[in-house]
Amino acid sequence: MRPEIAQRCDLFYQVLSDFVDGALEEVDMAYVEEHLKLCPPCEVYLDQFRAVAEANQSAQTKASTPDVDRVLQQVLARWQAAKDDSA
Amino acid sequence: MTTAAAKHPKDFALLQRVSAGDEAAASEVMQSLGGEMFGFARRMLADEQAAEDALQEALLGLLRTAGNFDGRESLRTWVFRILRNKIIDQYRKRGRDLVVSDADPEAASFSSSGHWKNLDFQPWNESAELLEVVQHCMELLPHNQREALQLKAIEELSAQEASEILGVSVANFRQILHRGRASVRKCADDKIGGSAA
Repeated sequence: MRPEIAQRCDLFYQVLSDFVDGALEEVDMAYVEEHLKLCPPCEVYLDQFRAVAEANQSAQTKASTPDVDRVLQQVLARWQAAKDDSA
Repeated sequence: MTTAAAKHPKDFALLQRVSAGDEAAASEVMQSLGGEMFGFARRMLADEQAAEDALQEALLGLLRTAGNFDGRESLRTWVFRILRNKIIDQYRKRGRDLVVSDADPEAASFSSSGHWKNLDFQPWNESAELLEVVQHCMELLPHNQREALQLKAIEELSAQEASEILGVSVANFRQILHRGRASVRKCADDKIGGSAA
């Protein structure tokens, strides 16, 4: 529990990732909300920080199936060959 | 370790089958994790061939050492740790620098009273360009911060699992992630030209 978060931008900044990820203790969440009401610059900073976190999530895509299947077949063949050699 | 002692008995049983040479079990493991492993490798290496090489080597390593898996951690954690090392091998093989940083990008941004020295933050406009800029800035991050961001982006991978993959505490993982995001924000802001901060 850190009530100073409500007053200090540096402490607000330090807990931003936890805040954005919902990993902050409830009581500290309230201090962050309180800080935001009093500090327009931190509100803008939070929006930008959140945009970065969201862009990172949205860019995560799995590789296409044909590419992966081809690699898996190659790996299986190498594994089988190694097993046959050692048998 | 016995199945009873393993925290992840299903994973343990599956890899025991792989270790015994069961091809169906090997396919099952690779099918379940191959897609997200390839995605992670591609984003870390930004090079299709290097990512494919890292994936191949990681999967082969997984199949060859399946008997060493003791089920104390999840299969996903174990496999991603192998992949992480293969990605680092690819960096070295290609003569690329592995830059690691603990620096806080906002370390000098606050006054002694804890307030921003420069308050001129300007909102960003939502645009396709913004996403592009953010992506570009992510590629410029030090290796450890990029790893943290990329692991965070993997669906349903917990902070606990990510920290185990990186070999750091959860608190340390969260700090690396935080600094990575803050670095990307600063870089994007510089490029978009909104704020002077």
